[in-house]
Amino acid sequence: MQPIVQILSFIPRMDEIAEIITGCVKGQKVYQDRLYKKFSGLIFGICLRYTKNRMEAQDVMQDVFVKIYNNIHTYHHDGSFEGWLRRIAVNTSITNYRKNQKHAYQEDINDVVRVKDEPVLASDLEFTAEEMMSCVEKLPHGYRTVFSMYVIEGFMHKEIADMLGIDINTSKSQLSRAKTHLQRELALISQIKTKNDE
Amino acid sequence: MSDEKFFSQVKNSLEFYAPEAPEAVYSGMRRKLWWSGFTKLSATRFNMWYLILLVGLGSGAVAYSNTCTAPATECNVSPLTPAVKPTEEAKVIPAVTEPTVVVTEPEVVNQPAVVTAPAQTAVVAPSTPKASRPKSTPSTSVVKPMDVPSSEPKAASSETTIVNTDAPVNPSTPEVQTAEPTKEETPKKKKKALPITIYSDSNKDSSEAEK
Repeated sequence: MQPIVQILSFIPRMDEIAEIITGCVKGQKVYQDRLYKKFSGLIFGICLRYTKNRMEAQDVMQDVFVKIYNNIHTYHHDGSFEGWLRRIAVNTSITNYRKNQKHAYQEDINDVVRVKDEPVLASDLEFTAEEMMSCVEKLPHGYRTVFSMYVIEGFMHKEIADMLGIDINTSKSQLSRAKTHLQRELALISQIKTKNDE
Repeated sequence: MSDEKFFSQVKNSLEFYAPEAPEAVYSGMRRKLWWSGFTKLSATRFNMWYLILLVGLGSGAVAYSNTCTAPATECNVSPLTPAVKPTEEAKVIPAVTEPTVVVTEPEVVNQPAVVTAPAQTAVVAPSTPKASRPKSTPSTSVVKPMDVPSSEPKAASSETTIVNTDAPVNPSTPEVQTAEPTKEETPKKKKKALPITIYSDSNKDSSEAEK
């Protein structure tokens, strides 16, 4: 009973969200701070998945909140406010990704050292979010972006290809390679866990 | 482990992953928010465009005031300072030292003047005390001041003598100069045509016979 109450206390109440939105529309600093405190972690987590490092993630997160404050009057309460925030964060992160891709070294998919699709040890172990995130952060930037968009945000390969300006097959292959990389990393973590248990 | 199961496991782990953001992010976000509000074009709040407008108007006013105060004569319109200031009071200048004299052209009659005395010249027109004429103006008749001391200006002459060229000049008066009258000053006198009677010899004989 205790954990359920604890979880419910974290779920933002609708009247509280509406109050924060109204205050932010008026440009009141108190409500802007409340919004920041409530959703900064979520936004930062999203930005970490789409950026190369934490410094870049912090910059993108600042841009996301500026966009939220400047455009919060366009939110019409017709959907989840958290979903609206998440969409702004993802779009801003993708915009940042495409902006950096102009100057980034384009890696040909044939030149990438092919990872053997070896069967990874099936691991039914539960991983914490931090463990999972540490593994995701080790993925190459392109892999991580496609993987996050497909797995977490739920975009289709065509949408990913359109948003990132890549071919659909590239999106598919990158997702496959990202999955293999991630499974390998998770297998290593699980091996370390089992050794520690033993 | 199938792909679907693996993906759902990853999604459940990361979907609500919310690490704590560093403190510096908040201050940087505030700075970016202020700057975006400052550069945004909005009529309801003070921003960069109002500042640019104010600076432009201020510099324009300063430049305008500088151009107006430096040379007072170059300023055309200034509501505060008059364009031209009177530097000294107006002085009354005496009009003319010599009195203006209006010359009334004397009528010159193209007839022989009547000489009453051999030593005098014919006085044509009585002159007023102011009457005189400038020296430079050409005239057909000679105007000569008479009975005026040499120290006094000629304009103060009281009498003028006009000598007609047609008149018989007295050789005893050497001061008299001659001049040809112009058409303006010598209006032609209409000569009445006299009835001319032509007498023929026959008529003459008959008239003599009648006599």
